[in-house]
Amino acid sequence: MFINWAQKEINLKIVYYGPGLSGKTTNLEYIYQQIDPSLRGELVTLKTREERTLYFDFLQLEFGRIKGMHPKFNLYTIPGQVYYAQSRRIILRGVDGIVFVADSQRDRMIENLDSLLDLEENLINEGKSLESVPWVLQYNKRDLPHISTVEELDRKLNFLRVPTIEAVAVRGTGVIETLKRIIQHVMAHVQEVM
Amino acid sequence: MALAKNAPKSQFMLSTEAFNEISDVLKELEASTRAELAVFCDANGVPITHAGKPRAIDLTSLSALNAGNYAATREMARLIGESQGFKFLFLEGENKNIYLCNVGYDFLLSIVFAKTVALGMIRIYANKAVKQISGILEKAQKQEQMAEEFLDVEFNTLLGKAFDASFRKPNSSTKTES
Ligand SMILES: Nc1nc2c(ncn2[C@@H]2O[C@H](COP(=O)(O)OP(=O)(O)OP(=O)(O)O)[C@@H](O)[C@H]2O)c(=O)[nH]1
Ligand SMILES: [Mg+2]
Repeated sequence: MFINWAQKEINLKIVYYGPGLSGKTTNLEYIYQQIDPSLRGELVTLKTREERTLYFDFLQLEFGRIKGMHPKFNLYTIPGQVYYAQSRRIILRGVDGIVFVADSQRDRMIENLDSLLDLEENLINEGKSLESVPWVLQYNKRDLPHISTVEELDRKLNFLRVPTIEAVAVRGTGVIETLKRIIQHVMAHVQEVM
Repeated sequence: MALAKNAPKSQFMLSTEAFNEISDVLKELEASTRAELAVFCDANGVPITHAGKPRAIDLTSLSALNAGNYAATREMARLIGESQGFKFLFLEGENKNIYLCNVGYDFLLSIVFAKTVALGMIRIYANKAVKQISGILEKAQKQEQMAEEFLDVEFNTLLGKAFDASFRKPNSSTKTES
């Protein structure tokens, strides 16, 4: 969190994490389309020719003036592909909240777990952990066949009992809800640690 | 500029006084070098203050990319055994250049300038500005304001309302609580 008193700005950083192709960029694209254009900046995407995130996507949201302050949320996605480990570490720096976008497809469970472990490792590197940073779990791609049940996903991924949201990011289902949950979680956490 | 040893802070507040002082340093930097734009941002890419004519330049995106770029080159420095990171980054274009350097561990200074301005001059004035800003930040840390007074339950309720009013249509979704 960064507070700029002169500008009356509170800046918070939220990172969308998760395995490759789980739908992180799709979440940001939907938010970009749906929010009042006067409240958002440009959607910055650094991607490969194959539309995979190469470095990060970035989108800033504002929600006007609240109690005299301007809260700003800086949303980032990480590149999920395994070999971009370095980029993921960089983007997690200074994170205030995390959305873990899991792929509900049964054959992606290992990738979800690997990515979650990778996240935990990178947080520890930052002097944080999954227990100390607010995060929520999005179970994405609920529209596809051959998906794990929510109970199964809970059992395997949600061992810390964080809020979960079912989503179909391509249609926008659950996307705004996810954002709202993480913002609530982050703000509550900010108050706690003050 | 050597990187400070201390770990990144998770919270940082900048007082109005420090903000004004840093803005003045940037104005002086811009005037003495005749640079187009000088931007001070944090290492996470949040723009803080600037001097010059941003005109069509999107400062928010520029700062996010500056931060990403800087962090990436710091990792590159590590890979080749340059543990202190690079002193600065210089991006040379057809008409415009960008100079980018860190201010301590948590902040960055970037300068956009025309090809007609000498890099050597930018370096000298940037170094001077970095020293001045570092001094201001050091002093500012001792007089932090309190944020509890407004970051309360009421703030969160109002933010929730503003959030709901910001999206085109209410979105239905299934939700599970664990
Ligand atoms: N069927 C279905 N497809 C989805 C859903 N969400 C995303 N996709 C598709 O999955 C593919 C990957 O989505 P991205 O958002 O690019 O994935 P990512 O997580 O950003 O991937 P990386 O950048 O490589 O880490 C795209 O073709 C999306 O259209 C969903 O809910 N259902
Ligand atoms: Mg992506």
